[in-house]
Amino acid sequence: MTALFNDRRLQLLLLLAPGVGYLLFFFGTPLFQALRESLVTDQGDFTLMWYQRAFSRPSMVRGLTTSLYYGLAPVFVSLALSVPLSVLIRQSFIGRKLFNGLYKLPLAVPSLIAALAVIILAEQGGFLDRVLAHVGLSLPKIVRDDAGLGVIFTSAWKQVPFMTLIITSAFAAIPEDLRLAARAFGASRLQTFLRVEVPLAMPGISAAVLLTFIGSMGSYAIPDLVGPPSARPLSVLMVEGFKNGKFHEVYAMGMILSAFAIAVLIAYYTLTHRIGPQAVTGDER
Amino acid sequence: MSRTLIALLFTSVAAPALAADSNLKNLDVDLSKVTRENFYEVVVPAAKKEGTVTMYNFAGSFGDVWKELIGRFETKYGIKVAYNDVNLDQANQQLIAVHQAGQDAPVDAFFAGGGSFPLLSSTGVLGNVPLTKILPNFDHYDPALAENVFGRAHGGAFPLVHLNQTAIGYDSAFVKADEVPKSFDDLIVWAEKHPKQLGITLPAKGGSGSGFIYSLALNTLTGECRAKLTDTSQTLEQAEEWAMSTDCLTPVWDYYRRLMKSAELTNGNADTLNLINNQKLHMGTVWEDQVMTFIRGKQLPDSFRLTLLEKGQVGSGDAFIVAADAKHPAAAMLLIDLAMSKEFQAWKLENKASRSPRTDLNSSQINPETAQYLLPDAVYPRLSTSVFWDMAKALGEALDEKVLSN
Repeated sequence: MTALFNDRRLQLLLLLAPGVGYLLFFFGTPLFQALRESLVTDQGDFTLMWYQRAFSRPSMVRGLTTSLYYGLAPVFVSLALSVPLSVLIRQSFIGRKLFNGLYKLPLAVPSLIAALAVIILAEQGGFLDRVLAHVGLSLPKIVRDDAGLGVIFTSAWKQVPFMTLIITSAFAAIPEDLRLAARAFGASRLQTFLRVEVPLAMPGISAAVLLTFIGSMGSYAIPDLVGPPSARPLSVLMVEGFKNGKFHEVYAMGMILSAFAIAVLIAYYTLTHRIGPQAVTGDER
Repeated sequence: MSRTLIALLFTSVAAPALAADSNLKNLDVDLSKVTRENFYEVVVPAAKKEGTVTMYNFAGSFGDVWKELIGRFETKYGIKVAYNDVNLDQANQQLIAVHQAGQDAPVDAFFAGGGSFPLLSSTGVLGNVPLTKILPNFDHYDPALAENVFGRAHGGAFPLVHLNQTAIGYDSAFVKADEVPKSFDDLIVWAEKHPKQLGITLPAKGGSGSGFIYSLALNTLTGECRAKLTDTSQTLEQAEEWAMSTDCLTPVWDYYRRLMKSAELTNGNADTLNLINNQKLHMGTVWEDQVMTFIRGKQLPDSFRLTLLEKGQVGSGDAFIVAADAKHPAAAMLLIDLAMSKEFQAWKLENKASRSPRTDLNSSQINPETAQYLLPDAVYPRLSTSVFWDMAKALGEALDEKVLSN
């Protein structure tokens, strides 16, 4: 018995069991179940029909591209806002404490409420449109618009605080000495930021990008309520399919979305391996 | 008095063994001996003995309607009603699961979506009770609905107690009386003359949209194509296959391609109404009863009016049923009976624009102030046609593939 416990491989397995076992049970089992259901007919026979349908029907193909679009576009908008915001938060200014609390408010607002608020405020003929009408202006169409601008802005509004929190922490973790050293060697503030701080914060930034991408790609309430009726992402098509009892088709769509999320995860690791602290410290390769 | 005593004795002692014709496993009444004439004598004592009844409501907007009914029921019979709002799909699945497990149902009287009949009847969870034949308040029930619903025979077990109608709604402050479209051709002409002022609900997002596309198909197709369109024996899968592959629907797709150049596609029934209220649209596809709810809630202008297009637009309805495994089936029948009373149906029409299957009730019998928001007698019920929802759903999906995603 003692010999058994002295077995290094068994020890390793036992040590990994809580983490790996949890992942296998709570992530692997549902994923496997979804994969299995996506590969069978109603009668239980093997088929690739659901995947074939997902990649051949115009609405599904459009759903997939729309999902990717709604996943990527808000990330770029959020990133463009979060990085400067993170820098700003580190500065000292009057009302910083209040600002520091206020910018996190969207985190507490459910997506559904955010979507409804956008409809009430920014709908054609809605509150903002009526206010602007007093000065002879009209609000451009951002709810139900073909470009999905309403979805992108609403998703970005929800994601900016989350992204800012992560990126601020990443910047805060950079030793002040490195910044001062760069300045001492003649780098400007902008050069220091771009060539020292951003590469060092890249693991945090890319983690924020990854998490917000996956979140917005799979989101349902915002594209369903604010997005255009004719270009619906897979998440919306999945809920519709679920309501109609098309479970195998829903599983296939879910697997496709998951595959894209995993592909992004792999891309993330590749990216953080190439661009990261190594690039600054010279440890790369 | 003596007849009541006999009925009491009958229900408490002999009836359980005689309830073989019905699948109501907990009913202490011999349904084969119940008629409209003796219904109250036989069922009221049994219902009072049960003492309570559990009701499910799938329609979120009907909470106040059932509150009114429950108040009347409890006052009249002294039987307590336990009321629950439910999700239709989940409730259907729950009923099927408990039935398969051989347990009593968690619900006695279920206000269920009209499209649920095939599922509930085929799985054996629908109480096999000829309600339209034995409940006294069904004495003026529309004969067309008494034994059939949307083309399927139900034998009286699936009575619609609420009818609703898809329509074209418009703000009369902007649309002159002589401009109001009378046909589908008129509608597209109006839309082209007034770009982006007509709202068409996406069929997948709202019944006013799927009702519209089915109505359009009914108006367009003839001969064998129309026969296939209205063949209610088809399953949803068969309907989808046909809609996706047939050439019969080419005129429908052509109509939508032309319409979408000048109309606004909306994200749902409420979305269409909201845009009309915001004065961004002046006309749209709507449900008659939802319009009334919006007008009463000041979410639509008083100038809002309704019409139906020539050759007809589809109407639908929802049913009040007894669950086969109901613990209190007698009380459930009594509740359904009261729901079909003329007084309650009139109240429902007046307050919710909920049309009645009663043949002795129409909009001329309600307050003129309310009647102006309903479909005019000139078009309703004349232009109301029956719907085959599975086909309407299939048309909506095919529209997505053939027109909207290309």
